[in-house]
Formats: sequence, C-alpha cells, structure tokens
Amino acid sequence: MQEPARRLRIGIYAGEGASHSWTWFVDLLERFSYLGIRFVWERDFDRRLPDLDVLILSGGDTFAVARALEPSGPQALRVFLERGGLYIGSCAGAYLPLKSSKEHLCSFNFVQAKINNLTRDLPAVRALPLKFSTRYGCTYVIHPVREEVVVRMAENFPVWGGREVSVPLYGGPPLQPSEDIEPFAFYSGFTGRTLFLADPKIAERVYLGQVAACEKSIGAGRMVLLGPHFEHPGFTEGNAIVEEWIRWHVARTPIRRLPDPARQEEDAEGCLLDPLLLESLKREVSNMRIRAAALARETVYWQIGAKVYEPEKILHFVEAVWSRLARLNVHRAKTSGPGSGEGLQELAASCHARLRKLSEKVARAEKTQELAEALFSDLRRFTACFLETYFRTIARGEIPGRRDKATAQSTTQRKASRRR
Amino acid sequence: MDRGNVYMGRILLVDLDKGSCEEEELSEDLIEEYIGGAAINLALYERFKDRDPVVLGTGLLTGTFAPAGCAGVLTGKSPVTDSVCHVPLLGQTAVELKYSGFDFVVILGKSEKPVRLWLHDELAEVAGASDVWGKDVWETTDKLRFEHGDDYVQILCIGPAGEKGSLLAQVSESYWGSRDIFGLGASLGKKKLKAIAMRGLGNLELAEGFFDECVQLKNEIASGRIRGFQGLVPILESLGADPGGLKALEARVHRNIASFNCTYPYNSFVMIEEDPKLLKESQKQEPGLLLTDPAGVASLLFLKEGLPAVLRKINRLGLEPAACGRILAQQGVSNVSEAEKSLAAFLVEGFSLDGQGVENVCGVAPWALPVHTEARLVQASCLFSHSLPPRPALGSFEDFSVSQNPVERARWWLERQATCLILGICPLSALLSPELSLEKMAGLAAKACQWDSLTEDAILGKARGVVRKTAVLGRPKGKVPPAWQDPEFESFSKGLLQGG
Repeated sequence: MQEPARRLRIGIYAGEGASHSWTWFVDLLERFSYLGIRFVWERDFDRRLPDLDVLILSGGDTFAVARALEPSGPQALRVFLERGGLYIGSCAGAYLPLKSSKEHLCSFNFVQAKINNLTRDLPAVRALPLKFSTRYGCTYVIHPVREEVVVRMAENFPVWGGREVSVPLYGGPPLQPSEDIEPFAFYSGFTGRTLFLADPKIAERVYLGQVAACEKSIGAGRMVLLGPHFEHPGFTEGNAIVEEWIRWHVARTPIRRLPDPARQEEDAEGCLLDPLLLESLKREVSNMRIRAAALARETVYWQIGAKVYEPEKILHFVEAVWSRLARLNVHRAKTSGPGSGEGLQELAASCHARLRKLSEKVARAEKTQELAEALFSDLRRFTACFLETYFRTIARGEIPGRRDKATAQSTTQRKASRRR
Repeated sequence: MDRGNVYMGRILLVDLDKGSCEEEELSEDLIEEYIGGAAINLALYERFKDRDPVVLGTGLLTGTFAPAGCAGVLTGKSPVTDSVCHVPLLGQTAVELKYSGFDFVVILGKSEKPVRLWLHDELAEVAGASDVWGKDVWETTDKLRFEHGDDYVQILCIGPAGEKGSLLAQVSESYWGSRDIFGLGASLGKKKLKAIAMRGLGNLELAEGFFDECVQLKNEIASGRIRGFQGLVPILESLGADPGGLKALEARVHRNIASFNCTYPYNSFVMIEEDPKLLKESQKQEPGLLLTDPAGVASLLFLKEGLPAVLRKINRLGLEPAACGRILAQQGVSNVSEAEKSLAAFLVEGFSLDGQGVENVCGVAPWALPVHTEARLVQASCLFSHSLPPRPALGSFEDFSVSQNPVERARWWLERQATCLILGICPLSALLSPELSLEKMAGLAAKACQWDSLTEDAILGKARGVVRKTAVLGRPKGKVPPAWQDPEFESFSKGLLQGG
C-alpha cells in the first residue's frame, strides 16, 4: 500500500520566468515515487493551487516570476499555505517570498528574513561576470561563488541532523538568521569544486554561517526555502533531504484531502497517444536532441530577463523528455494526457523548427536573441505538457514508475529481466 | 554472457525495394554462435543472399573502452571479384553506428530513386536523396551534417564514382575515403543508396574490472613496438615506400590523429596550401586532408608534392586511391592538372585502360612496395581488403612469432584480419602492435561481456570459420583479377577451403 506522502499532488511551476531546474525536481520526485506531478503556469496559477498539496518553484528569474504571477498569485499562494500547503522554493523560488520593496516582488512579502548578498559596491569579478551580479535598485545582489558548497544541517532536522552535505549553488540566497524563520541548514564551507567568482574572502563573508535552508510556518502550511539547488540530480544527499522534508511536512500536517476518488478519476482522464504518434514524437525529439547536443558545443548565450541561458539548457529540456519517451516506447504503453496527442506532436515540431533555425543562425553568426526567447518558452511548454502526459500514464498503471536508487532492483535482477 | 555491455541489441533490415525498415533483436543465441562483426555479417549475408545484401556490422568490442575498439566491417559481394568480401571501417563510423542503437544493418534490394538512410537514437529513416545525388563525397558529408545540425554525424556515402557504377568506386567514411578496394561503392550506387548518416548519444554498460584491463593493455601497447613513432610516414617507411616521396609528404604533415581508442595515431593530417617552412600559423583558410589509407598514399607517392591535392580529388569523387595511383603512374601522369583530367575518365562505368578490362585495372596491386609471396597470396584470396599492409608494419613477422613460411604468414594475416573484424578491433593497429595479441583480445572480450567460455581458441575457431566460409561463398563464380593472381594461390586456396 502506498504511504500517504507518495499520494500527494505536487505542482511544479514551469511558467514565465522559470528556468530549466524545475526538471531536476521532476527527476527527484519520480525517483522517490512521487508521481502525482502537475505543472503550474502563470495563467492557471490561481486555478491549480487549490488542488495541490505541494507547490515547487525552482530556479529562474525572480523578477519575471513575480511579474507573471501578479496580481492574483500572491493571494492564491497565501490561501494555499493557510490551508496546509507546502511551498518549496529553491534559488529564485527562495528569493520570491522574501521581503522586498520592489514592484511586483513586494506583493510576495511572506518572509521577513534578509539576504546577505546585497551590496552597494560591486567587488572585482574574477569569473563569469554575467552571472556574478544582478542589479537591484541602487544596489546589487552578488553571487561570489557557484557550483559545489558545503552546508551543515541543523541538529533538529530529521535523519540528516548535524551532518554536512555538498550541494550546488547557482545564485541562490544566503539568508541572515532571523526570528522570522527556522533555519535548518547553514553554509559551512567550500570545496575543491567551488567556483569563486570574486575574492574568496568576500565569498566567506557573504555565505559562511548564513542560512542555506529554512522553514517558515504560515497558517497550517509552511514555506521551505533552499538557497542551493538541493534538487540537482548530481547530489543524491541533497535530493534525500528534500524528500525527507516532504515526508516531515506530511507527518506534521494533516492531509485533509486524501484519499479523494474524484482525483483518481481525473488522473485516469486524458487522450490516448497512438503508438504511431509516439514513434513520430520520438523521431522529433531525437532530432532535437542531436541538434541541441551540437549547439551545446558552441560558445553562445542569451540574456533573457535577468537570467543568462546557455545552449546546454536546451539539452536539459530535451533530455527530460527523451529519457521518459524511450520508456513509454519500450513498454508500448497507451499514454494518456491532457489535450490531444497531435497537440503534443505539434509542439515538438514547433520546438524542433525553432531549434533548427536557431542552430543555423548561430552557425552563420546571426542574431538569435528573439528566436532563443521563443524557443525556451516553447520548450518549457512542450516539456511540461509531455511530462504531465507521462505521469498520467504511470498513474493509469500502463508502465511502472522509476524507483529510488535505494529501492531499485539489484543489477543482477535488472540484467536478468532485460534478457527475458 | 551480458549482451548489454557490448551490443545495443538491434539488427536493422532496410528494404530498399519498399523504402522501409524493420528491426530485429540481436539475440544472445546469434552472438553465442558467431560472436560478432564479420562472422555475424556473414551469417546475415547468407540468410538474405537472394536479395543482394550489403551488411554493415560492428564487432563485439566496437565502441567499448577496448584498445583499438574502433572497427566495423562492411560485407557484400564485390563487383570486382564477384565474390563476398569484407571491408574494414576504421574511422568513427562503426562506433557511431553502435551508439545510434544498431549493431548490424542489412541493406536489401534496390531503390528506384536515390535514397539515404538516417540512423539515430534507435530510429531508422529512409529518406529521398535527390538533394545530394550528383554531389561529391565532401559536398554530401557537409550537406547531411548541416541537415542534421551536428558535425559529429558520421556519414558512409558514395561519390560520383559510385553513382556511375565505376568499379574504381569506394564507399567513403565521411570525407576521408575507406579501405574499400572491392568496389562496394558501385554496389551502393546500383542500389541507389547515396549515404547512411549516423549519430547516436547512446552508451554501453561497463563490466566490473574491464576498464582497468583496457588501460593496462593500452599502456603496454604505448610502451611496446610503436613507441617513438607516430603518423603514416613511419608505417610506409617500414614497408619500403619511396623515401623521396615520403620526405615530400612528411614536410606537409600538420598533425597525426588516432582513430577511436587507438594508441598509435596512424592518420596524418596534411595542409595542402600551407608553406611547410612557415613557422607561424598559416593565415590561409583551407580544409586540409586526412591521410587514412596507407596503400592509397603509397601508390600516389610518385606525385611527390602533388600527392595531397590529387588524393583530395580522389576522395571527393569517391574513387579508390590505390588503384587510381597505380593507373595514373601507368599513364605517366606527373602533375596535379594531368591527374585531375585522368580522374574524370575513371568515373565512367566499364572504364578501361588501353583496352584492358576494368577488373584488370582496379586489380592493380595497391602496394607500390616490394611484394613478397605472402602479400600476393593475401591479395589473391580477395577476402579482406589488402589496402592494409599485407604484413606487420613498424616491425616484422618475428615480432608476432610467425614462421618464415609464406603460406603460414598469409594464413596468419587472414586470420588476424578475421579475428579483428569479429571483435571490432582495428586490424591496422593489430599489425602495428604485437602486444595486441589474440590472448589479450580474447581476455578483454570475455571480460567485457562476462562470457567465460569466450576463449582464445573459440575466437580463433570463429575467425578460421569466417575465412573458410567467405572463401567458399566466392566459389565457383568468383574471379581473381589478373593483376591479383599468383601461381601459388591454387594450392593455398585449397587449404583455405578445407580449413586446414
């Protein structure tokens, strides 16, 4: 029998301003068998939230997210929290609910804690100048380190209490300790894989001893804010901490909405994806994958809003679809999902056409900014649409879900089943 | 045995009559019976022999960490010899084929219109090729890579020579030609198959301890016979090629490049228009040329400084360089412009030289080197491409503990080719490095797929089987081009057919 936590309905924000890191949360949740995943957009934010138990907002452009969710988003979020919802925000998702006086952001003042990486005087940059700072009024939000950092979990955090773990940081906030939040992890050090974008002394001053992960209760629900990307697929300990946090929330919060037969019915709804259509979708995505991998070797980038996008991010989206598409195909599953299968195919074709045009223009050293913006928007839509179809298919029991490493079959068993 | 460590598990059947593709599982039974590469190619060839098959296959270790694990093999009926032959693929093609999800591709029948094949991520598509039909090898490679958006796409294609059915046509691996001396380029032309484009982002699983053994063997090879050498020039020097021609060539070598996982960089990249005496980087934009074919280069050495430009033209037209070189020499050609004029004539179907049959022309020995009996026997057998050196390079038969007897030597050469093309090990590397012994290759193969009964004897048995069966398939209709014949071949051939 499934435990209640795994029957949660989890919404992942994939709308305006979201980068690609939300796909890491998808990987994490699937690995731990949380299959009730839905995607939330700026246009249906208010409508979707009442139906969710958990809302996840990962990396991206905080300003763009705030702007996109106005005017009704903040209130919808408050109602969601008050009725017992869990908000997990990492990186941009952690900045969003912090106190701010800036337009759009000021509607999300849920947490009073202050960030420790705000400065009036921009220090000398050593690497990646575009990623080093973001203008914030007459000050700057600076990011003196990237990549791997060490955080120490608070003693009272379940299972992981007192342990040090490595997690990746891509511009997420260091928070100053405050009575408004309950800290559960502190930045405690750097590693040989930490990339210093400024003088290490500045990095130490900005991060060490500051809060890397914390919680704030609001109504019956709570907000979990993660500076680093604990959800990154290369950091299994960080992943396990996120999973533990979800379970801990469930243990402390009555899940009033489970079990809900109406929900299960809805899970089973949707169109069937014809096997031929699936094959054709696979072709489209494979072609995209090859082209995206080639483009990732080019030294080109695009600044979209306050965020820098490299071609590797295109590959992230495509791989998120590809890895699962192959499974649907292997299992010859009847897939079901929202909208029509043809719609999904059209989206894939549109993404591929844009990607093709983009790579051709890059090869000719032509301007690609507008095309890249349109492509990333399309890719977000296509990826989320496909993943929703995929998870509904799993919910119908057409294919087995992927399992957490710890519970996976042994290599021998896996190989034996492949031979069969 | 664990197939997943060495194969992707798929055979692709391409029906050009219908323009469709079908997939079959590469069963463990088939692997257990034939191991891989040339042996499975041959089994597939026999199964479909009524439909004029051309089989493209990978070896057991192709694309793995195994040293020199770059080889694939093309098996089909040669229009030159009218019998079955095996052509090694030593570029990136075979590796890419496996990573694209297919271990073997069987091309059946012929298309009415020009077509090409696109293999990627376990998917296969037959598409029209009117956009590249008529284009040369380089234009075709560029066009297809642009079409698929990736310079890493590997192309197996034919040029105008193959399209026109010239028996001097060869199948080309991307820009740089191949070891096809059997006119398989004309076979693909007859099928109207212009190109096979491949790209795969797939990978193989890794058996425990396999990687460490590969590294150990690689180190042994690096510190062994090849130590202190690099590039094509020392190979040709050791085989007795014209020192004057080699000197002119060496001056133009820009860098030496190894094939996938090969320790010895036997491909040499030359800059054609760059002044070799220039110390600073040339400002000229030129594509250069990768020399991959020792026999082809050897036969063109008489052109001295003109060699790279003529070889580039040969590669672009999709012609076989060794035969072209010998014919140009016979014609008394001495410079690039004369050579280019002559090459245009080679494209014509049924091309002949001074009234000689075309099979005599393209049967001209590719090695402009002192020819020993064992080399003539190897050449006359017409089983494997003798555009590879017909004897060990950089060293001698003694390094490989092979006796003085020419028959023994020729048999050893054939069996070594078959072994390499079953396992997917580069046969040129195997002629350079005695450290790449059958014992070591068998050990790696067994380790790679946890197949304990895959012993030295088992592999040698399959290799001998490939030699015998290929020779049998060539009889009675097969013909040895006069220029490849040798008076001692009949008795040698009997031995091969009997498997003795």
